[in-house]
Amino acid sequence: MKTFLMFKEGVWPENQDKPWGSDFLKQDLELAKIIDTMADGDAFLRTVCENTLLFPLKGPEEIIYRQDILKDCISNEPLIRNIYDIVVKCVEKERRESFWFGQTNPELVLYESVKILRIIVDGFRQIHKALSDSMNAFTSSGFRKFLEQLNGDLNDSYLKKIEDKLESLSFPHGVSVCVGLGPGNASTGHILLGPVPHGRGVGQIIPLGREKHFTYNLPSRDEAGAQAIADIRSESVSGIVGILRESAEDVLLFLKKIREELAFYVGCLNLYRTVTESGGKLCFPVPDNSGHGGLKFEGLYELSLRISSGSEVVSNSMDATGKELIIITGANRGGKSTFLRSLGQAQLMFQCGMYVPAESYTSDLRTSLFAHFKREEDRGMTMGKLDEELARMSSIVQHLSRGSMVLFNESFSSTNTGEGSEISRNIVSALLEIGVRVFFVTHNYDFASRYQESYDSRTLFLKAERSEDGTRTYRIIEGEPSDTGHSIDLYEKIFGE
Amino acid sequence: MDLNLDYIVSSITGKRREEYLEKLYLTPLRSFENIRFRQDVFRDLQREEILKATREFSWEMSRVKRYLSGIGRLYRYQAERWLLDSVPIYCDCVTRFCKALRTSRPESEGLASFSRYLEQYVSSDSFQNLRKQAERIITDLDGVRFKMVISPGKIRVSRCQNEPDLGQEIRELFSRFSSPKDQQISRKYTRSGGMSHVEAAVLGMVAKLFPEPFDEMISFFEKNRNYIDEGIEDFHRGIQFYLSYIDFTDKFRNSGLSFCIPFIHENRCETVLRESFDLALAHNLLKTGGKVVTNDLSLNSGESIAVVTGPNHGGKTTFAKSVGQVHYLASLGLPVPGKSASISVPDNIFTHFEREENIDNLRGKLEDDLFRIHQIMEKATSRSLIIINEMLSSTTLKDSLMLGKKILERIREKGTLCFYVTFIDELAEIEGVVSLVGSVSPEDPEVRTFRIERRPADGLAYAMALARKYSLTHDDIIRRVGS
Repeated sequence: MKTFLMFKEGVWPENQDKPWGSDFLKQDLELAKIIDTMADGDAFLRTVCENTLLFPLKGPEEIIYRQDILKDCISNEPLIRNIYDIVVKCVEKERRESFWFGQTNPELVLYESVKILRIIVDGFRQIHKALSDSMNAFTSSGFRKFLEQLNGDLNDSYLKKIEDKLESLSFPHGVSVCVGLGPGNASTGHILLGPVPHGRGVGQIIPLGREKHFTYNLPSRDEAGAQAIADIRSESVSGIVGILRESAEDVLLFLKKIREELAFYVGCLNLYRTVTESGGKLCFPVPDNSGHGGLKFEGLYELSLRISSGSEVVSNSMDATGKELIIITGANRGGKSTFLRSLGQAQLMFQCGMYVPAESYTSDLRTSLFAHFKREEDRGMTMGKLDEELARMSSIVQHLSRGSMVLFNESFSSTNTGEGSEISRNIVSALLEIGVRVFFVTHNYDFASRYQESYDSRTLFLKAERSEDGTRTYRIIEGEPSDTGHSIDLYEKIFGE
Repeated sequence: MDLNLDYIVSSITGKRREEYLEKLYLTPLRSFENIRFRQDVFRDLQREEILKATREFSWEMSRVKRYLSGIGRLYRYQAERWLLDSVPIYCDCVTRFCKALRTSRPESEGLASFSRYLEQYVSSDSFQNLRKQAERIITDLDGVRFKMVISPGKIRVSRCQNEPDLGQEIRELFSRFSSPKDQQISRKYTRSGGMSHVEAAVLGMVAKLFPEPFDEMISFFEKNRNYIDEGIEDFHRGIQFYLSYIDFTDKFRNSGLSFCIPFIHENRCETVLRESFDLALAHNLLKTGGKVVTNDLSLNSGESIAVVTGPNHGGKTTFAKSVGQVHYLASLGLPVPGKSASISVPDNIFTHFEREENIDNLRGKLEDDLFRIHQIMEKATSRSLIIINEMLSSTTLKDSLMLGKKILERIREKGTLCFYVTFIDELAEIEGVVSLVGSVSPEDPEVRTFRIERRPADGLAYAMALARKYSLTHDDIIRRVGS
């Protein structure tokens, strides 16, 4: 049975590993703070939210599908949290109660399986109850499918059937089994027999006792014999144990899948609450399908900064539609890196079906996202700095594809300007030809100015804004590269001169 | 022992652990004919189809023997069934092997004569009847299905009626949850131990419910208690010697090392090895994933003494051991490490390796060294092989050079083949001695290549290379100081 809260067709991608480069993204875009807020101290939520955030969807329909579900969740928050709690408790109870993994004693496994199935059936009953009054509160097609399952495949009469079957597995009339002879005439091919249903074949079945039979009676005090009978019984039920255990595992898997899917939305609810309660704006982004490289936003801000400060942070607005190379220059500590991070965060959140930290946001979909940020000297590093940067870049190239997006932050600055420029231009021009959107924060005036000279309508120059008196506004505006990084400002500020 | 032969033999026999096998490996053949006989069998077994068929036969025969091994300890109706079950396996493997040999036509006397023997045996009436009877009874027993109702202290046995399969019912009940792709890997519950007395009793009741097949089984057992042919059994034992060695060498082949059937000279002649290696060391290196270095050697028929010199840990001892191993293995009729080999089989292999001083030994170390080498030289003939590793180290260089020269002179007079590993370069300069040198990598003198090359001893090469690396050779220093 499929679950439908994450993917329209209920099919999870086969490879659920985080895409290559996820760790760099997480670090460079400061996603940890965002993920922590979603997790709200829960390790499972953290894992699910992190994986989902770093696993971009490829089509606009899938994004809208999730957005609709998330909207349902936001308007039914208490109910969603309640269902999630039921599922979590059920799964945790199962884990506490079961020590079946690695168990080889069939009777014990049988007992455990029955117990676990009972727990899960009980969980489904609770979900039924919780939702009974709110069937019409959901409008998203994802939740409609979920409700259909509860009323169809998982309805009361089916749950009752399961309970009845579990009851018969306590074998009130002894274990009945049909057996053949295997190698060495040992019993083999055990088929456990169920109770004959009432009314079937009356008169055909020879009444018990009249058919030809022999009975082995265990002598009293024959302990080895008692053990032997227990062994025979174990072997007899072992066939069914496998089936039952697989069934229990299947049902449990289904429940765990529901937990995993709901966990993402609960994480979204957590983040939503934190941000909006402190006055932050969130909006549902609009996928651009025009094929003209849509990218337009208003009031885009850096979310992890917003979470840390708990108050308003600088936001940026711009229309970069059709721009494939965006070069950002300007003052040190002028908000360039923050801007770059906000772009990356928004794109990731957008592509996993979430709201984004902006007043409005329209973008086309990117096949993958990579970050190439300058690294501080790593103590454990065995390679030279430029070596390390190039090695990392080489790995990115190995993984990117047409339609990717790469965020560079002061890359290749660990060598002299000329070389850095040459390396950067080699890489960037190739990426543009492939069809990769590039954001490049740089102090390399040589590199930036060369793109300035050879004007291309796909290139956009941005710079950190400075007001008349030279102070920074931390806003990023359109503007041609300038050749000073204004480090002297910083120096003066810090040294108070 | 110095050649690590005991280690090699136990690695070969490994799992088989059969005493007779170990004995075979520890008994060098003295007769040229017998060596040839074994080499021919190995040559046949180099053909993929023959080896495959022989392995299958051996494997299946072992299975048959396992089936029969416990019969004396089993319950009634159990023992009889094990024997019965073993018959089709035996008949199948014998028939298949017979057919395989017929089509592949082995050339060795060993396999060809067994092939003829098998043809006769397989076509005999008694063999054909054995198989037919067994199969019929097994089919009848396979048809038996009975029902047990197990309650505490009680098992009721009867014939099966038409009752529902509980497992199937449960599977259907939960089928909506099962994802189609992960088809159940059913974890089969396997009970440890054999049949219990309760099961034996139940089996007895089953025999009463189904008397015909059980009666037939009993009478088959009584008639065919020892049905395995003696000639086949002997062959099965003998072929283990070959298969165990091939299994062992396959491990090396898989990592690119070669084995070859050596060309054997009856009298002292040339000694030529290509890409040979130390089997014991290579065995360890395979486990740890290290790289095995191979070595070539070429001595013509007039050259009987080789002195091996070179840097420490440069592969000298390993090389000497590998030469000894090749001669030993060849004398068992076995393929040897290397791409090709052309050697004379020694009548005896003597080793003289450096020993820890033994406190119980009243002789001093030098004396002990000399005592041992003397003993060796007493026994050695012109067809022997002597391997000496770092002898006479407990005396002055001058003395050990002098002694070494004398000993080598005497060995040469005898015409015994001798490999002498030493740190004394001058020994390699003796007239008529072949000098072999452990080499270092030309790019980085600190890297030893572990290759042994035939060239004059050059103990200074290593030091000179190091000097060049740091630009400290004579010319370097003149140039640097001069500029």
